[in-house]
Amino acid sequence: MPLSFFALCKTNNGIQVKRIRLANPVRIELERKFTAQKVELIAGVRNEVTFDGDWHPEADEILTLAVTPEIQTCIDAVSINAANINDLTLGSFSTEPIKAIFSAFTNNGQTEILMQKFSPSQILGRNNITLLLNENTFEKLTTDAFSIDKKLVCIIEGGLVKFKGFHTLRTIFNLSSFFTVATDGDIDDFAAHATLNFADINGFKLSADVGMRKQIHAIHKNDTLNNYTGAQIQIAGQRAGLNFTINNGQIEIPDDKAEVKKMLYFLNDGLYEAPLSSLHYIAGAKKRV
Amino acid sequence: MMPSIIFRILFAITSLAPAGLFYAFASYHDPSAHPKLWIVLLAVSLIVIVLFFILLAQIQWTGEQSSFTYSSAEPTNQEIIPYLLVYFSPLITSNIEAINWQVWSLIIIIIAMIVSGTNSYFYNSLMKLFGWNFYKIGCGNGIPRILISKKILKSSSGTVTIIELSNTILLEHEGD
Repeated sequence: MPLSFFALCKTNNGIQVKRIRLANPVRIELERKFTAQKVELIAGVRNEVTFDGDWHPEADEILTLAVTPEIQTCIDAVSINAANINDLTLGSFSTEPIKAIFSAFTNNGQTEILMQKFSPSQILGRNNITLLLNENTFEKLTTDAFSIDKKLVCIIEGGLVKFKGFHTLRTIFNLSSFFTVATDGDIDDFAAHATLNFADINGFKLSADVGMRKQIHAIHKNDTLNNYTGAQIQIAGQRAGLNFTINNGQIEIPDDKAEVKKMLYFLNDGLYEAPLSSLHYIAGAKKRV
Repeated sequence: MMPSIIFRILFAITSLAPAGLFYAFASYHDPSAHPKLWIVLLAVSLIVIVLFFILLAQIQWTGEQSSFTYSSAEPTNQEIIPYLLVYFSPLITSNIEAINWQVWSLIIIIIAMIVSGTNSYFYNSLMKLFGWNFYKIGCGNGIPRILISKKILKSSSGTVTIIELSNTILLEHEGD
């Protein structure tokens, strides 16, 4: 069965799917292109790893996350006949910005979607003059036109979104529930723990960047501070090359931001001593084996 | 892509090719008609039939194929009656020369424009002659469509590869 192609548009009312009508030879070429890009995305992949917000895939891995209600809306929209879907018009881009271009194939109730991201720069002639050669004279492009990206962002099938780049996927779908960082309120709760002592909590909140807030959220989620005493943390920290100052049983939070980051990574099992070289590393991502 | 309006007008005109054959037949047997009129009518009809195959080949090649799942289907031939009236109309006139061809040509073009410019269903008897069948199909959204297929549907539900001739007329892609 032939693939049909669609555009995912985001409006104030949510996502809308529009059909991209193509001359059949072009449709066939696009189908081959998307199929080749799918092969490229899954080339060498042997493991599917559930995305937990803290993992960068290896070359033989692909990340997965469960289809969200927003993504399910997209799947449902293309599960009906393509002939029933409204056509795409680029002229309405300002009110219906396109976020992705994708192909969809439904067989026996199962839909497979191959999706590319779409950015405004792919619309030809929008902000710049695009020239077309007509016999021996260049003319300005006046009709709607856009280009296709060179790779897929994700494959959606079997209730899962399979991808390698989370941040690119975030530009298409709202995935805030999968990428959670600590709010100021969360930091207050963190600082209030009996094991910790902050000299300047307000200053800490001002200086806490996304990476630090991500670590704090993970520490809170793993309940690390309730599972270990200050003394246990201090001893383990020394093995990892950290020198905590303990005052009345509480760990003093250092003023130096770099030291704070090391401490947060340590509390989230992200700072370790290499077994052979004994050098200390911060792990940007980890996977439990 | 859906066929352009010019394509659809021409396609609708081809449905009247059998009428030209009837007119040629009537002219041949009408002693008052110009002796070469039947040749002209026959030639025009054959040209239109050839045009039909060219247009059909073009749409089969360039028309975007997509999958269409239907949940109901029934044969439909209701609109054949107006076409039969057009086809047999030359047989009810005793003087073929009395026909105002300019008016007839204009009527045919207007009919073709109306049929092709809207989503109204048209019955192309030429297609019927060459083995195409017409079915009214539904897909559960309340909008019936006409499926033109060379196959004889054995089930009221199924999935076919189609080319959209208009919003409501689907041509099954040959080769499936």
